[in-house]
Amino acid sequence: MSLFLTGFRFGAAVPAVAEVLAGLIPRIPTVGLRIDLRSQTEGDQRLRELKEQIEANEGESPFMIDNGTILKAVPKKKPSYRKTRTKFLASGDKKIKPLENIVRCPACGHVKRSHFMCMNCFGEIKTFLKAKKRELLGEIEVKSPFETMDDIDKRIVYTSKKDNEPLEMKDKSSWIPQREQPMIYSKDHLRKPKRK
Amino acid sequence: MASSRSLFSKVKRHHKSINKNLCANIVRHDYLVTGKTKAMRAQPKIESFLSKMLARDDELVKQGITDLDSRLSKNQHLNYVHEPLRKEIGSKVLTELKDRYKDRSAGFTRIIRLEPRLSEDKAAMSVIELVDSEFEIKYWFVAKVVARLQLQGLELDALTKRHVEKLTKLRPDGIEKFQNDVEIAKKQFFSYNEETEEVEDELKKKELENLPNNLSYNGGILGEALLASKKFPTKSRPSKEPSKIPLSPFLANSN
Repeated sequence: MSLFLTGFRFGAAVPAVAEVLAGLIPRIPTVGLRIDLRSQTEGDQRLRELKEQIEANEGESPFMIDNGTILKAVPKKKPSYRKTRTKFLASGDKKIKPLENIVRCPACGHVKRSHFMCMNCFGEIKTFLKAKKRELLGEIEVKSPFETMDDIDKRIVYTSKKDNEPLEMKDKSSWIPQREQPMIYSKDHLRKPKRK
Repeated sequence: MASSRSLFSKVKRHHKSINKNLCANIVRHDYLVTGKTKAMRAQPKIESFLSKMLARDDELVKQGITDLDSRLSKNQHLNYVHEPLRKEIGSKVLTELKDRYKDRSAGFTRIIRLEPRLSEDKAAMSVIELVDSEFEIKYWFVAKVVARLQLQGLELDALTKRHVEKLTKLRPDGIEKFQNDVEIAKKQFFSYNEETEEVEDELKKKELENLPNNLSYNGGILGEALLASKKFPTKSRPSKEPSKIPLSPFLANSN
């Protein structure tokens, strides 16, 4: 008897629950999908607002909290006064020290470090010496074995030779760092020594 | 600089091989741009290789062996270099470098410090070069310094004079050749036109206006003070008179 009753009750309750649930769950607006606004806008106030926003934004989805990469990891709390001060007044080894050994290069008048070669002059001298070497000794042609090899040998030795270097890496001038031209030395740029 | 004594034998063997390769390549190319640590590690090895090679060769020549091939084969110090390079390196040492280093028994190399490399590791770099070579970087740097001072119309300061003296001392017709090279440096590095006697590039002209702070070092009152100690009142040593050894009384009697 009890089984029957429960079965009866349950059977009667199922359609009612489905209807209630369908009414309770709100319809989440799916942004970026095509929405047939004609039929739905009549009923819902929020969808009408969304339509206006999309039209104002030239067909694109409006600003929402989760539709972009606006949210980023941030510190949870503001660091206290004490913490910032302890960081700034940490031991001197961990800080970047100012360069005190800056002098005038006697060969070009630009700034250089004392006891170091002036890189501005070194570049000039190196290119000059390379040209000089080429004049005296002639061009030294270094041919790789790949160029002089027979076709059959190439296939056997270099079975899977591919050019794996990406295109943007081939233009070396774009990514190899270049030294900047140093400043012209002036005594005014230096920190004045403390008077005792 | 980590001493290789404290490292594994694997690393130690690699370091030895690097030293040998640097030794061979500096003889080939006259100067190399390497890391500072590598250069400092290889320098004593290169020095001892060259001095031993040249000293042994002098012995062999005294014995009467003049053929180059037999001089190479009998020189055991050539075994320091890797085998396939021995003939090339050895013949260059015994022909070119032997002429160049007639009056030297040590001090064949020089290390110049450079700014750190512009890569991610920021490694300290340096140049290691053979002295008195045709492609000596310090020589051309000093030539550039002298050229600049001449274009500015200044006299040489004491430090530059000393550099010039050191660099030209053991070269054949050193001073004449240096003066020639200063003229080349003027053209090359300052775009100096000999006919009009003017610097053509405007940027270089502007750089030349940047004079040293204290001009009395360049032929003024402080001319000689640059090399003197600032801390202690030193005096230069008086010139040595040639000493006379008195004749032995026994010899005098016999004569």
